[in-house]
Amino acid sequence: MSLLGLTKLAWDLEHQEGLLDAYHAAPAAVLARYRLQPRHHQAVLDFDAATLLDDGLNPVVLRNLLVILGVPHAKLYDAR
Amino acid sequence: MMSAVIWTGATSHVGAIIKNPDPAPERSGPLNAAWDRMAEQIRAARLDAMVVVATDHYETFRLEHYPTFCLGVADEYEGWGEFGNPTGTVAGASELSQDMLAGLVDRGFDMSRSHEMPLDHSFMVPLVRLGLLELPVVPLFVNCNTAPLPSLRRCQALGESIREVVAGVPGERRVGVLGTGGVSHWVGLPRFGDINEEWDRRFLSLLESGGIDEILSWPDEEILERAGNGALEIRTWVVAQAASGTPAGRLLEYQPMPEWAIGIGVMTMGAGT
Repeated sequence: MSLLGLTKLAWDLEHQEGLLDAYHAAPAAVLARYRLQPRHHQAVLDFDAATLLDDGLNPVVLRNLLVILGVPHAKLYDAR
Repeated sequence: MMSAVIWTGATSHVGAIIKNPDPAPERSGPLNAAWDRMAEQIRAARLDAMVVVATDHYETFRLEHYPTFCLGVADEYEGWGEFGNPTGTVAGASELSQDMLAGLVDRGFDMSRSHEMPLDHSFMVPLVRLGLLELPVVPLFVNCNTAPLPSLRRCQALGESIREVVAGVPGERRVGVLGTGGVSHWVGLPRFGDINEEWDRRFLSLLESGGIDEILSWPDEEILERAGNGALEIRTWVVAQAASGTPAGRLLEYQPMPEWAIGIGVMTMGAGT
């Protein structure tokens, strides 16, 4: 279920007006709206691409999620 | 005269083609010349519509419902414009879409349909680069990134069926089929930026010379390892090749483009050669 939550989060941050700003203001509050396992909640906060990939998040979604959060595609695995 | 697939080709679709079109003139220059030649071929073919066989990067389709194949049947389509990629409105060829949907289902393809199918860069970049925004399109989504993927053989069968179905469409419709995606690149993976030029050239050479059977034998795991998850998009090339009715093509250009983090191929197939 966490993978579905992460996928919804990535799309919503990209497309729902105001959500990205809300995330930057209070990330934990936004993440609490999604059904995420604690380790995935923390991995998003930490920009931890390796954990998300190891746990099965589709790399295209992973790219979308972390790029929209400000991590360059070429730096996904350097950012933690 | 019957309706027919008149022109067939394939190209890579990375957004940088539009966003950063000439970062290395010694390599991007020949690619741009190839796209210009392809655009001229398409204009000369006087098409009534283009079937664009592409994928999606979790913009239109997500885990709530992820089809294997989905045909757009709308009168028009919006481009997402995601991450700075091209946006805009593209006219649909809805009658052709409906004829194709009925014909493909009749031939055993349990095709999803969408009356509202926004298009991401896998559709929009080729449409913009090839100057096709005024040509009605039939967008055909192929799952290229969320396992289990349709097999390469299934994609070949889909292309063959597209050719047959188009031939049965009423009127004298001149239809093109354009595959988009690949070649080697890694998306969202630690190897982002790598290019396997040897693999790319092997793939393109086989496609050019009628060696499709060897390509069809490649396991996805091997493609993924050698050429990246982005290379799984060669499914769209296989569909286009099969739709051409001729097991051969002509490579207009290939260049490894580290500036775009991808190997870029541009090819015409069958009648398009």
